[in-house]
Amino acid sequence: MNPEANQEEIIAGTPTYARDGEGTLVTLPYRNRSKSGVVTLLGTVNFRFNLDLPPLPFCGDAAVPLGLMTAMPAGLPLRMEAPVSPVLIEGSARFQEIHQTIFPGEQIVPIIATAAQMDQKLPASGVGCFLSNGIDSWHSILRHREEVTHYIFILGFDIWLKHHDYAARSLALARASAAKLGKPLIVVETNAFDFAHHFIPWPRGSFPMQSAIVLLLSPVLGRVIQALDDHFAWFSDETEIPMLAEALGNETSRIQFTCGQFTRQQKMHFLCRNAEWLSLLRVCWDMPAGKINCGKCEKCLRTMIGLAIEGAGQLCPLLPPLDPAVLACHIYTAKSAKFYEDMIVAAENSPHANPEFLAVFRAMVHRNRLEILARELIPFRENLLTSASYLSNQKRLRGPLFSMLRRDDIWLLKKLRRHAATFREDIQKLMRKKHKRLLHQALWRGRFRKFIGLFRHRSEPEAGGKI
Amino acid sequence: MADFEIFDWSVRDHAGFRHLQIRWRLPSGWREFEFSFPDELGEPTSEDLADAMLPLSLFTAMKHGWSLSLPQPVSAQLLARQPGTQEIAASWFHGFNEIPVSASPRTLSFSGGERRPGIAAAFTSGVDSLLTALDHREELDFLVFVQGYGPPDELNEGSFAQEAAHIRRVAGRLGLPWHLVRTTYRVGEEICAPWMENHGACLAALGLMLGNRIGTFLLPSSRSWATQIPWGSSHWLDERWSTERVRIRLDALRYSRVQKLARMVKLYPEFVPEILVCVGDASGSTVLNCGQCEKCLRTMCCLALSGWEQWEGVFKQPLDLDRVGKLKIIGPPHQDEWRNILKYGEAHVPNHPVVGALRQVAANIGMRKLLKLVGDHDGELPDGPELAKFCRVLRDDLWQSWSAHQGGWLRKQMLSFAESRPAQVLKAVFGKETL
Repeated sequence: MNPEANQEEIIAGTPTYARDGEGTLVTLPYRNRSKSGVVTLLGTVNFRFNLDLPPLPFCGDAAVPLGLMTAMPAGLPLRMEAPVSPVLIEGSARFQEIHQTIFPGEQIVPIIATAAQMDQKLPASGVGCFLSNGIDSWHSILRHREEVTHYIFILGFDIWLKHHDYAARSLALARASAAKLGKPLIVVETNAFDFAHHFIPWPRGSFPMQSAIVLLLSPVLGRVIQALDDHFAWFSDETEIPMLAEALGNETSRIQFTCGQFTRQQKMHFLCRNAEWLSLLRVCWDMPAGKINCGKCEKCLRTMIGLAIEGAGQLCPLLPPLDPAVLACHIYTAKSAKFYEDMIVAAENSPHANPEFLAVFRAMVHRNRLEILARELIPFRENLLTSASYLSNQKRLRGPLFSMLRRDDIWLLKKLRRHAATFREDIQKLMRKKHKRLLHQALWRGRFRKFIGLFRHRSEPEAGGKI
Repeated sequence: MADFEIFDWSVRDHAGFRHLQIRWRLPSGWREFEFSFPDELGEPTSEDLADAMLPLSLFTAMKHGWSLSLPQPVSAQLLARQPGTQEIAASWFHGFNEIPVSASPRTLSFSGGERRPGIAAAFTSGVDSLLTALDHREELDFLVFVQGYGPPDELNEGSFAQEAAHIRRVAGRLGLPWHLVRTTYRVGEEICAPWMENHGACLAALGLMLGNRIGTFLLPSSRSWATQIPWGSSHWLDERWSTERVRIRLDALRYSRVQKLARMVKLYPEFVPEILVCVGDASGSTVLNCGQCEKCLRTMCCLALSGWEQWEGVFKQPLDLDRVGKLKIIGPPHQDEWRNILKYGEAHVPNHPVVGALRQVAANIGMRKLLKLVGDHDGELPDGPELAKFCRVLRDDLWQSWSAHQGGWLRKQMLSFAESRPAQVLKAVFGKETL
C-alpha cells in the first residue's frame, strides 16, 4: 500500500500534446486526491499554440506554476506526475517564500516530484517578447526590437475568450503589429482564466500562467522578455513582483524582466517620439463592444491624460480625445495614485500641456489625493482630534475641513433635536439676546419711521388734505 | 582614460591583523582607505579583492557620473549583472547616473567547485542580525562585524567598547566565533555615495573579500518581500553582487520587523534581552537601548504586541505609550513600518493598549498629510463622495468633542446657525417656533 495514500493532495498530471489544425494543443490536468484516496478532476488547463510545438517528453515543468497556485491556497502538497527540472524545484521554493509573504493566508507546500534529466542542455536561440499592445509592451518591444525573434500574444487571460468579437479585434491588432514589426507572432489561446477563477483566490498576477507558457515554448525560445508594469521603486505589496516569475524558470527557459527603470510616463514619452506605433495602442481591460479601447475606464483615461501631457492626444486613433469635463470628475484609487503623481510632475514640466488642461488636471489630482487620504483616515477617526498635528493646527484645518458642516443644515437640526436638553439653555440665551436685539432694532425702526412720518407730515401737510 | 580608477591595493601584516590598503584615483585627487582583517580570517585572495572593488566603488562612480576602471579581471557573473544593477540604482537613487565600467571578465568553470561550503553572516546583535544568527546557528561558521560601517564615532574605541563587549557576549552565547573587521571606508566619505544607498554594496563587498573562507554570506534583511523600498540593501540589489565564488544572500525576507520579534519571542525568548536596538550617546557616555528614540519605541511596541514586556535591564526606560502617541514619524518608509505594526496588532491582539497608541500614530501621520494637502490648495475642499463621508465622520467626532467640553468652535457654528434660522432651530429644540 502506498504510505501516502491517506494524504490529501493536488496532483498535476503529465502535460499531453496533440495536433490541433495547424497548431498544437497542450493540456495540463489538475486533480485532487482526498484522504480516502478518491481522485477527482479539478480541471484541465489548455494552451493552444498556432505553431507546431515539439513535445517535451517526461517533463512536467509547465504544470508547476499553476499547480502551486492551486495547492498553496488549499494548503495541500503538490504531487507532480511527470519529472520536474531540479532548477525549477529549487526556484519553486523561492517562489513559494515570496508568494506566502505577500499572501500570508496561503501555505508553503511540499512538492513531491522526481528530478528530470534535461535532454536539451542549451537554451534555444529564440528570444520572445510578450505583446499586448499596451504602453509597457510597446515600450519593451521597441527597445528590444533587434534581439526579439518572436512575439507572443495571449488570449484567454486578460482577454476573455467568451468576448469573441473583442478577442478577434485584439488578435487582428496584434497580427497587424507583428507584421509591421516584421517578426512572427505566436498566438496562445488558453482557458487559464476560467481555471484560475475557480481554484485560485483573486487577485493574483498573471505570472504563473505566463511562466507555464514560457516553459512550454522552451524548444523554440530560450528567453522571453516581459515588460515590467511598474517602476522599480514602486513594487511593494503587489501581486506582480517580478521575482515570482523569475523563480519559475528552468535550465532552458526563463522570463527576463525589462524596463523597470522607466515610469509609465517616461514610456509614453518614448512612444510619442515613435508616434507611428500609437495607432496600434490597446490599453483597455473592459473589453468594450465594437471598440478596442472604451475611452472611459480608469486605464483608458490614464493613458489619454499621459498622451495629452506629451501633446500627442490626437495621435492615437483608437482613443477618443480627452474631454475636460470627464477629466474634472475622474476618480482613481490609491493603487493607481503613483501613476498620477508621476504624471502631475511630468505635466508641470511639459512644454506641450496646455494651461487649461493643466488647471483641470491639477484640481482633479488634488481632489483624488484628498479622497484617498480620507479613505485612509476613516478607520482612525476617533484618534484624529487628539492627533498632535490637529491640535497644533486646529485653526488652519477647521475652515477647509468643516466647510461642509456650515452647509449641512439637516445634520445640524438633527443634532439639535437629539440634544435639545443640552442646548435649551444656550439657545434660550441666544434667542433672548436676539429678541432683545430685535426689539432694540424694532424700537429704532419705529423711531425712525416716526421721524420719517414727522418729516413727511411736516413737509406735505397740504398735499394730504387732512391731519 | 576612465575618470575613476581603482588604482591599486596592498596587503600587509601588522599586530595580528592583515591590513588591506586601497587607493582610488579620482578626478578630484586620491583617496585611501583601509580594511583590517584579523589573522583568523586568513588573507583575502587577489580574485576576491578584485571582485569586491566593484561593489565598493560602483555607486560612488554612479553618484558623480564618472566612468569606472577596474585594473584586475572581475568575476564574469558580477560583471554581467552590473548593467542591471546600475539600471535599478539609477532609477532608485536621486542623482545616480548609469556609467561605463571597464574591466575584463574573469571566467571560471561554473561547476560549483570554486565555491567554498562555509557560511558567515553580518552581525550587530540588532533584531535582524540576531534572528538570522539564531535561525542559522547550526549552519553558520562565524559572524562578522565591521567597525567603521556604523556611525562616524564608531572608530573611537572608547565609545565602541561597550557595544563591542555586548556583541561579543551575544556571539559567545550563540556559540559562534565572532570576528571584528575594521575599516576607514567612511572616514571622509563625503566623496562616496550616501551611506543609505551604499551600505548594502559595502556589506556585500565584505562578503566577497571573505571568499577564501566562505561560499555564502548572509545579509540580514530589514524588510520583507512585501515591504521592500528603494534602499541600499534590498533583494533587488544585494544578490546581484554574488560571484561564482561567494553567494550574497539576503536573509529572512519572509518576515517584517514585527513578525521577526514575534518569532524571536516565541522561539528564542532567552535571546530577546540581547537585542541591541540603538547606541545612543547621553551626556558623554554610550547608552545601549535608550528606550526613548523612535527605533527603540518601535521595537518595544513590537515586543509588547508579541507578549514580551520585561523592559528592565534591556531598555533604559519602560514603554511609554504617551510618548508613542506623540511620535512624529517622517518619511513613507517609516510610516509604512508603523502602519504594518498596527496591522499586525489589530490582527493578533486588537485590545492591547499598544494598538490604541499605534492608532494614534497612524492618525498623526494622516493628519499631517492632510495638513500638507490642504495647505497646498488654499484650503478649498471639493465635493466628492468619499470626502463627504470623511467629513461626516469627522463632524460626528467634533460633536462628541463639543459635548464633552461644552464649548469651542462647533458650538459657535451651532449658535450662528441658530441665529440665521431661528424658527427652525427653536422648533427643533423647544418644539415651537417662538419662545
